[in-house]
Amino acid sequence: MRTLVWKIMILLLFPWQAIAASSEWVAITRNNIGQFTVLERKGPVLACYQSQQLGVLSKASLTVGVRWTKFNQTSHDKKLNLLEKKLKRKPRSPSARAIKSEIKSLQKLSKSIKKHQSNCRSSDTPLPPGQEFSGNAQSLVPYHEQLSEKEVSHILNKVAFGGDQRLRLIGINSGLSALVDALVDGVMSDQERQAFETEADRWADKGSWYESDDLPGKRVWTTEALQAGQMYRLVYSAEPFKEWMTLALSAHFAINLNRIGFSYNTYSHQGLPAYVNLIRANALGSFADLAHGMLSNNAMNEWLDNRNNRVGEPNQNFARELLELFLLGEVDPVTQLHNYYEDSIAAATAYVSGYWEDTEIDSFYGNQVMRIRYDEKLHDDAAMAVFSGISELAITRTFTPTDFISYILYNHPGSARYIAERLAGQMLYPDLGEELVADLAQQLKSTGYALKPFLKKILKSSAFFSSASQGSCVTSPIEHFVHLARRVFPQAAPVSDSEKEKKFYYLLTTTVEAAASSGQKLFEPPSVFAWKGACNINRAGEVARGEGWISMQRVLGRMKGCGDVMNNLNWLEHDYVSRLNLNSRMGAYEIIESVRSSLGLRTLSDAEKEIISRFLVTELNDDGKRSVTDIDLSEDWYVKRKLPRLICLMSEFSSTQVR
Amino acid sequence: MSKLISRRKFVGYSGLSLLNMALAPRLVLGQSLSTKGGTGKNLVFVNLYGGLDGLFAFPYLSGAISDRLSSSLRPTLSITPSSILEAVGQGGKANKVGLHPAFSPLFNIAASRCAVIEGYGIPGDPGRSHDTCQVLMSLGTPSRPAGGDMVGFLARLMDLLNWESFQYWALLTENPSDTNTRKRAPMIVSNVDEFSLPPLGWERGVDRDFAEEIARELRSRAATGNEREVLFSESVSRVRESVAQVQTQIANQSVGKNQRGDYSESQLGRSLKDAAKIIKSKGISGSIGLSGKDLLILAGQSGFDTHADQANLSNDDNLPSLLTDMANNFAVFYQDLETMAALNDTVIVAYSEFGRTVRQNSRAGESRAGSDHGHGSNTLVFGGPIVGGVYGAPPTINELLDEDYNALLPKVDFRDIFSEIFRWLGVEPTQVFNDPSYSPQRLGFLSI
Repeated sequence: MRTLVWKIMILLLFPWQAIAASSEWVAITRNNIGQFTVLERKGPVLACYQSQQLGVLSKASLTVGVRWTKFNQTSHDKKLNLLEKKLKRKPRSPSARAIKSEIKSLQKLSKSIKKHQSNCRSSDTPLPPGQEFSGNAQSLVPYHEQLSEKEVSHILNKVAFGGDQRLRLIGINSGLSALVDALVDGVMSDQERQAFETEADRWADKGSWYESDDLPGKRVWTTEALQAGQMYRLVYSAEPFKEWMTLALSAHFAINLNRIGFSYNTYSHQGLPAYVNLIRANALGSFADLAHGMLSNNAMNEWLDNRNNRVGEPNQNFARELLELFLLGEVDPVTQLHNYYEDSIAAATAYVSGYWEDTEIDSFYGNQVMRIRYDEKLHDDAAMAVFSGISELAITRTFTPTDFISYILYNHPGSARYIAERLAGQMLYPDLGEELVADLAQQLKSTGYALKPFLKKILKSSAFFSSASQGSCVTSPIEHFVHLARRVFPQAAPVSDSEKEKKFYYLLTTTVEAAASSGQKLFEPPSVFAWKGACNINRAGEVARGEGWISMQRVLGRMKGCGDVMNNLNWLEHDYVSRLNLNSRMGAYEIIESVRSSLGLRTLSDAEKEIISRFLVTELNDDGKRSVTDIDLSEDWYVKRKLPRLICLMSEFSSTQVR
Repeated sequence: MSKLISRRKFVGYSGLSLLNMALAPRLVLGQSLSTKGGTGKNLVFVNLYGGLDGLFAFPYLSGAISDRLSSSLRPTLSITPSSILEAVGQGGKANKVGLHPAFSPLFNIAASRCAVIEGYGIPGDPGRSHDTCQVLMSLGTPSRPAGGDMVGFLARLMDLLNWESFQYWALLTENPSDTNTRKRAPMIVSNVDEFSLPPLGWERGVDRDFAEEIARELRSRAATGNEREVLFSESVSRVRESVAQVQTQIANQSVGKNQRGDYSESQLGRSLKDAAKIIKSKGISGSIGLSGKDLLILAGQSGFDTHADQANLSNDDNLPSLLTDMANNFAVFYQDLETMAALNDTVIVAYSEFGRTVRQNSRAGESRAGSDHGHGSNTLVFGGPIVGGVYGAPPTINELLDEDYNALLPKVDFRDIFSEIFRWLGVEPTQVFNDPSYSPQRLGFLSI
């Protein structure tokens, strides 16, 4: 105690010198009081605050005080990116030297941060008792900033396929806001994003495209190729939440691309990606823009026939689903009051009529492509009654298609509630209460259906870290396999090795198929309802929590799918040892712990470890057992037999199948 | 709390199931069925998702209804009367009903065993949403249950009769309520041939067996966690336990490839092929032990939501092609049943969530013409015990011409079709449908 007081006094009198002299301090800085652990003194002084947050200590003024600045990876990257752009634009300006120097110091800081991140983590000092997952299921107020490792895993598992090390460290070191900002705003620079998109397209290009007979030299992407490209994004994106939202919204505006794919291939490879691009472009953008975009989207017009919906020839397919699935829902998910009655379908059909299918020559590819065009002469502009029986909404008038969508979004109180409930229920937990839905709907509507503030509110909320949110849904097959792939697949896709590239492409398609045999094929839902029984598909009074994914055949699909994916990894000569952070010689228990940690699984009991260790050391039809304390992982044949099976065995644990 | 999970959590595989059996009231007709699993009958229910156009598949071939439909209401979607297969037993009737010519493979061998039900549907005003109507049909109710019990009537049948898992096979279902049982879980398997764990490339057989032993030991310790984790663990265990039985006793049964051809690769073709294998396995002794037991098989086919290009043969998903596929598969299945001497114990019923609009949705002559969501419809029941003919009632001309309604008004409660089949099975239908306001009306397509 005496030592502590002495240290505090020294710090107050000579703060900077004191920090230089010792590594552990209980300090009073200009903005924090608490325990600091100094990790690096060369260059910027890096220290852990309360063994939780990594940051920089600096002099608050020339003589007095110390300032603590929490390190924020996102703003750091943005600043660096900005400076680099500035330098590129004016490399010879008078300020160039100063910019260069700043870039250099930021890069140095970045390097030091990377080096010390693992030395500053919350596992050393767990949250005070009762604080972990202490959120209130009914509250949207922000949760506490400091997150435990389990809480970081919770958010990443729920909406980011487990995330990656970078996101994990942001969560652990910089807290909830920084993590949510990183998930929603992204962590990549524009150049990185562009490079990533080009790489994803490269993998789609390797798909089974063919050259059109009519158009020599013109490539046509098949659905399989498109799926492979998207699977690459799912597994390798540094911004997985965007891909998670893409998946969620593709189930909202559900289209089976394969069913319409054949007719589209005759037009252009662009028919398929346009739908995916529309969703991805708005996945963290505007729900209103996305809904409007569907009006003229080729694939949607093919799928729900709105290109055939004209004055005098009403085709109700799109209009019905616009009300029932895209914007409203027949009844309110919470109050069970009707949002519309059957007679609104005829009016809605007239309102969204007027589209037709045109063909033209694509300026880039030179081939014939389909374009959906709007012609007001084909639009039914008769005044019709809509929303009769719905208080204060019944109206008789005409609408253009875009005006009708806006009318629903901004005038029908059920619209924001329906959309908020659909999305938030998947993220928080199904069957949300009235107040939560009302609050989220208000948020959505007040920002013009901008998704970012809405999503941030959900992810930062107390409800997200409540016990109700833990394991609230069974993971979907795509979530399950992408989670596995992000932790087991090679760190980077192969380059300039055609044989390896071919095998890697098959790995991507095998992963798509593994999820498909478990009941969920990417962009190929069975119907307009997407996948009934999936998380928060709340239809006709039935609240689903993903139980639909665990029928016998679908569970079997997960088991077989894991084997198929591992077979492909073996074929690719995958380096399991380094990917799973193993050494060439290890004991069985160490291997188990390392694989468990790499896969992001729960802690295993001693009994479970003992059972699994038997699997690792037992060699049947061979020379007996291996030593439990020394297993040679440089032996390729052993690794290829045992580790894939170990991964599949451990991923069968039920705790990994809920999120 | 999830209704599905809470039920299973409490009664799933526990001794409570036995308790339920002991305490269950006698809800079945006649002699005790639950003691030996039934009378050996097979129910094959074929759900045609999307809303089959009953006026197209089972059209009127004579009279004023036929005239109106072909001349003004749906000229592009009408079928030349002379090509329609006339259902049996309609002597002297004005508005005769038939089967689309695509049904000829089945009709040629089973005309006297085919019953066309005209004007069936969900009574009242259920709306025209696929989802709502599918769920209502699955639940066996005409309206949404308030705060309700989401157990489908097929699931209730299974519970009522205390069936073993292997007595109810859901081969294709999109509605969780179809399989939402309170007692034992049914077999939800979409392809019996693929219901297997193939060997992995790099392992030796003995290692694989050992890995399986390890997995079993791990699973025995894994049944903790929240409800969804427990449900997942149970499912994994059931899969592991039944894979070998399904492979040795069902998947290897030889079916199809008979005088009527072979099953197609469509959803319905694959479902019926599996159905034939399951029924054939009743003839063998094995641990599944279905011999002499009742069997329910839920099969299906999607794609009947024909808003456009309904009769356009250059379109991949045109309705005549779907009907041709259906009829071919029905014929092969019928032949298989006959060969395995199971025809007289088997009833096959096709149904769909609603029919389609009376008026086509494009001008006459437009190949893109289709039909939108309607209400009542016509459908087909066939099988060994079926008394061929037409049951139900046709629409009146006024009903047909009601421009606002633009759909058939159901004259037959859809439950009446199933009720008749349940009575044939020896089960009191009111206990299955659990709706005090429902009073089953006998149609007469089964001799009971």
